[in-house]
Amino acid sequence: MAWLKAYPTLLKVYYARSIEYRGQILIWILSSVLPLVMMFVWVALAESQGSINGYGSADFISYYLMVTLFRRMTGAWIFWDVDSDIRTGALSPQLLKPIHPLHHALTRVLASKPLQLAIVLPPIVLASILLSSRYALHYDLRLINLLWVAVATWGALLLEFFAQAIIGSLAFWISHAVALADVWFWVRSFLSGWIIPLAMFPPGLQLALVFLPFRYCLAFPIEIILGALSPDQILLGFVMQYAWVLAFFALFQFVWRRGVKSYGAVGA
Amino acid sequence: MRRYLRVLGIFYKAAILTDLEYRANFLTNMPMSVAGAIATILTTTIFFQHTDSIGGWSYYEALLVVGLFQLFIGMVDTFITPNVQDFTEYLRLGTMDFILIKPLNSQFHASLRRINMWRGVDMLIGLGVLAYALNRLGVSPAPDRVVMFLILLICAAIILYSLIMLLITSGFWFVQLENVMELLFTFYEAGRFPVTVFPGWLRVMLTFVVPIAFITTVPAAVVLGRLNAEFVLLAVIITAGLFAACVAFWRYAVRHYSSASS
Repeated sequence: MAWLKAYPTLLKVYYARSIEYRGQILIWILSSVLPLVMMFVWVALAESQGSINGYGSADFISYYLMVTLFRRMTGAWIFWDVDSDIRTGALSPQLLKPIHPLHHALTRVLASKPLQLAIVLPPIVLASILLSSRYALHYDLRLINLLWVAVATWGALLLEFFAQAIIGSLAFWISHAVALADVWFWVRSFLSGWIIPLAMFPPGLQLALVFLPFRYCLAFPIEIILGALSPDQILLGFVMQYAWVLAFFALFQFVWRRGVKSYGAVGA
Repeated sequence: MRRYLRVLGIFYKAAILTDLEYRANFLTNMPMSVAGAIATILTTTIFFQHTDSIGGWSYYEALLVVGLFQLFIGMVDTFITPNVQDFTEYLRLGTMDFILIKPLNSQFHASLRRINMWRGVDMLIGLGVLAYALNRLGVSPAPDRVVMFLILLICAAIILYSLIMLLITSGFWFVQLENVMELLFTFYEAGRFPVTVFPGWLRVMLTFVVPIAFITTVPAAVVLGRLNAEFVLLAVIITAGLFAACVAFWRYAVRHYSSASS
């Protein structure tokens, strides 16, 4: 746990850097557009035929507003760094340092969150207030519920983080890990509720998604804050989510250790 | 004109030979193309699990729009994106000068020199979806509809090219272009649905401000016989206007460009 002592410093450094790269801000805002396009289509549908699988227009609006918020809070864009550090050999000096290179990646992700929150939260709050006169938006903002939301968001972030770390580490052996990363991004986008609320999927797929990792990358904290889950469902969700976090973590350790060995052997 | 076609032939031949050297790129691009296409098709399919029509379009009609959406994503990634990536380098390193002094239209040279033929897979998937949807609809368009459809496809390609050129020409002042391309794709996302599903203000914006409607919705509507020749005329006018605007903007930018090295 000695690495924990380095965290305050790393966080400070990467926070300063996150403010430096302001071009990213535009990307964060733009990545919210696809969910909002989807929202318009669902709301049009809900208004013409009442509720769909229990979602009325107000539910779709609250859902997609939360998608834009939680996508930012659970995003971890580390694949490219892991991948290119391995391929270019930039990893070598990092391996000499006393803490695991992944701590750098994690603190960088965490340090970018305050700025992201500062940018997406005000428009979402404003939109919620403006729209609440016309639609009965519903968020469960009880303190205990917000605690569960925080735990689920943290789990979602770790899942995405380790998934990308695993795929990035494949660069130890293959030069086109990016192909796999792209597949992960598409599959995860589709099955995590980023494009479509999972409640709209066929029942069989919904059931499967309770046990697969994708839902826990995004939809889970959103469903909690919308008050859509019973305490039992939340509990089951936490068990599944953190089981997947552990599984991904173990897989990462396995891949990384073997990778570093073969990396040294090549002498890159 | 002949000369430009010949130069284009040489550009593409060189680009294809380069691509053939990196055949592994085919394997890199393939899973992404397929996963992206499946996600796009499933997104529309899920909607139709809950309804028979969105914005007045049936499933297979909406699938025509999806096919066009995929076709033009493929076209942009095959013919334009590789050049945008190079363009950033030209501006950053100052190698733009070498393009400007060549006895060839600089916009033509900078924007059409490279292709990434592996992304052609997206175009093929798009055409496949289009053909499948037409087949399921049992539509066999009359010859005049086919001609109008083809004109609209050409217009759509030029509209997309012009929009992208308008954006990347701003790179002469801003240099950072990755974000600029994201901006376009953000609007393009709306093109995966018939424009009639959106509320009025957004529909007007997608038709006249950023004319994404003319890329996917209008060609599909014309082949289905929902829209008539006057929309083809409108498309041609908008296309001509945008193309003229992007050429004029490029000329203006080049005139005021003072290179990176000097």
